[in-house]
Amino acid sequence: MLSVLRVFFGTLLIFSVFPLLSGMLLIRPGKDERIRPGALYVRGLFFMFGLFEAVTMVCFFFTRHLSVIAVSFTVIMVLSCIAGLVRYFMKGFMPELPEAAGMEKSVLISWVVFFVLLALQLLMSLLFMTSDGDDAYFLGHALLADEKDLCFVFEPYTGVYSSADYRHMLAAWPVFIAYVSRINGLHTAINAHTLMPLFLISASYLVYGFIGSHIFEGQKEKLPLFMTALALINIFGNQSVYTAQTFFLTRTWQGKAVLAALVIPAVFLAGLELAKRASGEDKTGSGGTYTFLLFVNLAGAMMSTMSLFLLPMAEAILTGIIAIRYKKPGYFVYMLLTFLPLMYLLAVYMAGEGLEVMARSIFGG
Amino acid sequence: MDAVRGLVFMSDSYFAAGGGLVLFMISLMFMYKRRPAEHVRLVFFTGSLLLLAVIFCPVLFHIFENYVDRGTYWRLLWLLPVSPVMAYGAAELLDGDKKALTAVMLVLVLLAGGRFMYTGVTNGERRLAENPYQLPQELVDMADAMEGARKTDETLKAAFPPELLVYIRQYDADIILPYGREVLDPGWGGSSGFYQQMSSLTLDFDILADKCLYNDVRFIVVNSTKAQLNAPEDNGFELFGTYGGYLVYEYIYVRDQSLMSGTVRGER
Repeated sequence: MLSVLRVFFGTLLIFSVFPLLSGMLLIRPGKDERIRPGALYVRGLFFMFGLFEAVTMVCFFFTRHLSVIAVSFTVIMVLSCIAGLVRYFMKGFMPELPEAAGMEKSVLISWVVFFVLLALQLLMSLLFMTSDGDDAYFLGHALLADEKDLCFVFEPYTGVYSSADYRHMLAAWPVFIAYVSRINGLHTAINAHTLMPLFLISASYLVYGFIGSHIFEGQKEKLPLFMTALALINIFGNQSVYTAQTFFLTRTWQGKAVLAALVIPAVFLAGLELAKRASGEDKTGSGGTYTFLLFVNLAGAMMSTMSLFLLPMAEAILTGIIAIRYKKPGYFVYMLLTFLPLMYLLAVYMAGEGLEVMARSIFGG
Repeated sequence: MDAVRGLVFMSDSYFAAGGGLVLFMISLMFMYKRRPAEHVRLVFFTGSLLLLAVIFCPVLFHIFENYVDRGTYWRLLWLLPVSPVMAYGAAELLDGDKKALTAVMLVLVLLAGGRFMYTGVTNGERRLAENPYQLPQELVDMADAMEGARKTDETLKAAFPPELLVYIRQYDADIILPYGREVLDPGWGGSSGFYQQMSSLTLDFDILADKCLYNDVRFIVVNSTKAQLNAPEDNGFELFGTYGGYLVYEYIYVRDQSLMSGTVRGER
């Protein structure tokens, strides 16, 4: 019974409480201080992922013990949640909930179809297993971190001691899976293959939902059509093993898949927010979006070192277009600031061991 | 020219001979014609065109492939907002007149240009999950059995056939392997006599006994359908158990050692 409670509350803590409460720090309220719970969740989810990456990279200067990382992250996360709650009450935020009453029948039917397709994807993720060679590496590391309390110390394929793999240890996703196992008590393979895809797939559609809200602002009746079409494109997106859709639905638990299906869409969401603000359609300040982008970048680094190349490219293009079109170069400059953590990680990636040795000599450990 | 050829190959491999890319381009043109809000056009239309120009730049391809990370350039294609742009087009069309006819046409386009995820290609094997780990049940059972036979402070080592190498270390971090999943990588430059024996069509238990002795390997797992050159029992092995289509043999000499040193002397 205790283990069932631990699974339930541990999972709830990480995938509901942490994102919702910490999201209060990043959320920008709409009219009448209304905030949408979905927007809160998205903000908080990236805050959590980004914070985990930052904490892990700092801890790696001193230790590779998962317990140190787990305690450090949990403490900072709890403090962030408290700060989020304080902001919530001080600002007097009110939730803005969707209204089903008054919705046209055709719109309601469209939403039902979308949620049926979403449920199908979630069900398939539970029913089918797809083996992938990369799991032996990343989930091997996750299991080692959880059971040995040491991250990236052992060779995951064989279990013997190994030198640090700088390319992969910069992406803390396997450590996060191990952290989830530490909290909810489930085996890392169960968390990765069975539990986490349910949240990750849903979160991805939540991000796309907000993208759709931007695209169809003032035409809410088209949003469920957009979401339904998106779900069908994903379900029929298996043109090759390389497509983002294939990664998303058959390798959901892998960092690369989360990068493709959750982080990159979040970059476009941030791009839409910035473009809307730059155009003058949205008069609120853009600081909140840059903070969001900072955590999106950190979250991307957590998922895969490939993000160190992909995200700067995408963001440079998007903010460059905005800066040129609306003659606001500041948009590009502020975006560069959100890259600073990635630039450090990129330097470590390119230089390998050299920079860590230098950092150790400065910070000790 | 090599870079151009590389880009074409990459695109064909990713989009399955270009169908998806064509649909994406058509959807972009449709978005341009429909003219959504300016900030949406800027991000998705202009942004996509620039991303396409950058991604399909031969110079960038050459630099990335030769100086950054060979073989992963195709991941830049993930930056293209294919799904939302195509979904936008579908939503706009479905909101117009003749909804039913439009829906039928879109479904036909989807069936022609798409491929159903749950019967299509994957990087590895796909089958019904047998447990919450989503790992083969026979592997879970044999690993648990080996753990049950572990002596106190023993460094338990086991050799697995190629098809189980992907799974075992996802389930059990305490079973040490003399060779791991890296041997399956086409680019692997190492060699493993033990793996060669375990993956050969006919199993020679005389040589396998030698490998087990030198590598302190207590268990070997073999596919029950494989031919055996000689009897395992004549070469110091005892059948430990049968798990699905696999036989687990225990090397008696290693089993009877009181403690394993835990050091790997290297392979012979």
